[in-house]
Amino acid sequence: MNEQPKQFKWVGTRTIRPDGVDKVTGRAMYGADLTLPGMLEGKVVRSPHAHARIISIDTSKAEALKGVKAVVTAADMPEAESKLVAAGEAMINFRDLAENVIARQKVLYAGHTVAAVAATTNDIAERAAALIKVEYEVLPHVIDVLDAMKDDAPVLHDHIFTGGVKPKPEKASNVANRVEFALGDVDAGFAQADIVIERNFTTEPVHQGYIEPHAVVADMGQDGKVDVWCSSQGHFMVRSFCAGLLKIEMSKIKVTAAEIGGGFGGKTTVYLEPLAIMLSHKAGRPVRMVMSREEVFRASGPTSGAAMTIKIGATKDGRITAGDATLYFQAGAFPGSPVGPAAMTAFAPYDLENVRVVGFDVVSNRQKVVAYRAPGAPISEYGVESVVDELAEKLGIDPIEFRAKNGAREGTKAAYGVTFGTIGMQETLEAAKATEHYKIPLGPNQGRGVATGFWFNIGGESCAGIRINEDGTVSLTEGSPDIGGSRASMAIMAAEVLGIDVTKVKPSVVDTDAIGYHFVTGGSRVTFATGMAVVDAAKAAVDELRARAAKIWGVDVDGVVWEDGHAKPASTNVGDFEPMSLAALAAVANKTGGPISGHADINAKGAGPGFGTHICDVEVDPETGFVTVLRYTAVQDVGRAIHPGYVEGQLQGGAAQGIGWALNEAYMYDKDGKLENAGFLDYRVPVASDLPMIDAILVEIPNPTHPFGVRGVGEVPIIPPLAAVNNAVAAATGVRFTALPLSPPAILAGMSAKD
Amino acid sequence: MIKVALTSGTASQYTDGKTEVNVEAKNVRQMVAALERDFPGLGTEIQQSMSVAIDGVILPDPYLEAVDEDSEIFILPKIGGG
Amino acid sequence: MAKQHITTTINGEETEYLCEPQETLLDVLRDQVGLTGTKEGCSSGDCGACSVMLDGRLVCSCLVLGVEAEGKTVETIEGMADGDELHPLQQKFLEEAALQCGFCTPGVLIAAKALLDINNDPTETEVRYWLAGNLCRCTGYDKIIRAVMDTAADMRGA
Repeated sequence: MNEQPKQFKWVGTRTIRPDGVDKVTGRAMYGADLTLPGMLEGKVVRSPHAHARIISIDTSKAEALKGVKAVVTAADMPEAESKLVAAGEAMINFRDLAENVIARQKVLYAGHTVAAVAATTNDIAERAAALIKVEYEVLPHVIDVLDAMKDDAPVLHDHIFTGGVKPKPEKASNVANRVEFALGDVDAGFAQADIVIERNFTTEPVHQGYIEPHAVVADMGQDGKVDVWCSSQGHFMVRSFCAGLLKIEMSKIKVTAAEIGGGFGGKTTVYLEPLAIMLSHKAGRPVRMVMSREEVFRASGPTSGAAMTIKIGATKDGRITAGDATLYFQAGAFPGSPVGPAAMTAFAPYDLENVRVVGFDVVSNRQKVVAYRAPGAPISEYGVESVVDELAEKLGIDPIEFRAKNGAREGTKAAYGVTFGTIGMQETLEAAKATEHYKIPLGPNQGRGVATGFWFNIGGESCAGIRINEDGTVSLTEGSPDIGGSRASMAIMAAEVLGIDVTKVKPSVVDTDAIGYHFVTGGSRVTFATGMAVVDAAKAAVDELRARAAKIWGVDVDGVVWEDGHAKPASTNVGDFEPMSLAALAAVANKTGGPISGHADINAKGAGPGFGTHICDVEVDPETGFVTVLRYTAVQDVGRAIHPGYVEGQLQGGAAQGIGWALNEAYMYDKDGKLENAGFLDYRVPVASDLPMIDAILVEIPNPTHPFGVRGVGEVPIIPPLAAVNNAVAAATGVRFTALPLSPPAILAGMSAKD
Repeated sequence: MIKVALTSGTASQYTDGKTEVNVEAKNVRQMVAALERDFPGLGTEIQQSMSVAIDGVILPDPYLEAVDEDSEIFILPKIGGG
Repeated sequence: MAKQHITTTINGEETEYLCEPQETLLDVLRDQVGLTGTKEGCSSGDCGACSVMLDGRLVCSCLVLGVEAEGKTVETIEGMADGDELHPLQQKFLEEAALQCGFCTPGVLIAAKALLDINNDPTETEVRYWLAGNLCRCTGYDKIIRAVMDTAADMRGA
């Protein structure tokens, strides 16, 4: 745990989160918790086929059912134009977004929406959905990424011609895009190596697994005004996507962010929201739509599964001479896998002269992938970190030392082309090496694995308003849905700048009518970017408070400083005035010029890159192949922890998700291309009894561009676990596994192949 | 003249494989226009789906930022996150 | 089929509602009684977000029919605090940041209270297995387990 920096009163303290009592008493309102007068319940009709042409849709029987108030198919939706928009992790095409919301000519995965219905009760809506008759012409489908790239694979879209290659291909294919990053000369680099290791890896698609299913209530009036309440990582994203998809002016759509029951990237796009608006429009009544857990698995998320080849060379003394990676990423039914960031992050923890990464974005008959915590990075870094570990072992060098020797530091030109500023890669390695954990002796069938991870973190648009109330309390408004305690961080930062007690600051996440545009809660950006807006707004309020004191004292504003929540004369030359508190200035605000506030509307730049190092101890049961995680430590450079409790929580939660990815989780399809494990019983996320305590160690190398040194925190922790677990299992079994998840049968098979 | 670095993938599409090109520009807006003129399609691609990193800071929506001959300028894909 | 008239006791208060025979207790609580603190995460008994106490027994309310509550007592998250006094578990969860998104929290709290009611000194392993039916995707469970054990220690000391 870090020493609390002395210069701050609130930053770095473990305050009670402002929304806490609501969340431990059941008062907090999530997506499905809103009921409006006259509200209807909406249900979706989904494709049972992985790939089929829609011949006809007959909704007449459903419409005739008593209690049914509206039915919507693609014919009710405006045709979308082909246009690129930013959506969470990557650019997506608006036409693809529209077709993912509701299929037009073809269904592209089992679970793809074909119609929606609204009725007076859930039961009637379900019966109506079953009465909608869709006639399909079933087409051959393809699920696997490498199969989808074959010449004879069924082609999903006749308008996709592989991008990123020259000349432009003449034949449509499932390979939507090729990306390439290269530095130096990899062939020359491998020629200098004393040892070269090349391995092929695969990972399966995994779902974000938020416990709250997607939910929305939409209410469209006869005047065309729309109110939307939904569980989303970005209510401004919902407004902009719904406006674009339904051709409604943005000012007519007001979106309120419900409390959100987890997202992890999976709620950075729209699924139900446009359908609910259209149903409400047709019915003239509010409509609520809530996905079942099965629908969440079949029709939202996940992140890509991938196949990849990683090749790394090093000299005998442990210097990496070249790295080469080829990545094949499943995008799902529409282009836009996170292969770009995967390619950029693959070798980013290291200072390398010769690197080449080639990536392919490949469509197949699966649900369209969406962002999942550091999109792409856990996959490519799993491959790289597994090979790095094997190199260290073969060279007889401690894995942390090997990483430190080759690790990035300030001034390193990252493999993706950018020179790093102040970063904490080396410091996380040192802190990991210094842990007690790293020294604990291991028993039989036990192994220890280490891995590092890198993620960019982002900034982006955020706004904040600080209003000084008449009694000296502060209302703080911002527009980043609070997914993990960010209100607490905002209150802390505002209190620190204003110099008042943190409990005097009440933060609210307000609707799209009440504040300016915010990019989604994603990219580990909220405490950094929205925090920066909050600090700027608080500073603007302080300037106004100083101006009011100057007016009262009849001095120049430059003669007034703000210290510890009080306006004070800057020096004795200014005059002998009693300091005025924020509350005192607030009490006379009406006499000195009216209400006092501060605002900031920014596009935050300079998010600090994040690095983490994890240590994992496992025991592998030689009889069953079952892996028990014995100990786990997550070390990360967090810049500065505004609320250390919630920062540790990010490290612990990310580690748990990564452990699930490594050991348990995978999408499994039957021969017809239908997901076989669309429920928490068969898609097994880690439960409490699967995990040990997860020690979170916060390294603080402040980000120079943020007023309090904040770096993004939320995404890095999911990156190292995949390789940390894999390397631990290798140490325990003597087998280098190259496929996730590390299920007991896979481990048994690997161990018996060795014997 | 400013030096603009491109990924090898972008370079193979627009600049005959040259991963570093020189253009005359004082800010990003001028740089993008100059790149579009010299390498048709590249400026549009940058505006639609790329970020620009200047001296290590990645800018998803760069426009008015000043650049000069000492700037490290790198064009890379846009990054979001979960 | 006609709706059934049910009389039950919810959080100490006699409550009547009409429900369809196939309606779950979860749906009744949320849609008829207006107690939306009990959450729906899966409707198959796998996630524990809908945990409530039924006649003193921990159940997933998605696996119980509304009609089954006839003549019984139901305790939900809304009844956990005593007036404006939080239950020690609720207070400890806030102090130790044992929640992030908060969606699983009501179910976790109900389940944890059920454990502490029968075992005031659980081991870490006992807490982990007791809460194995309550999925949390945010916290990695670490702070939840600690908060439950720390609450138990406080309550023993009190």
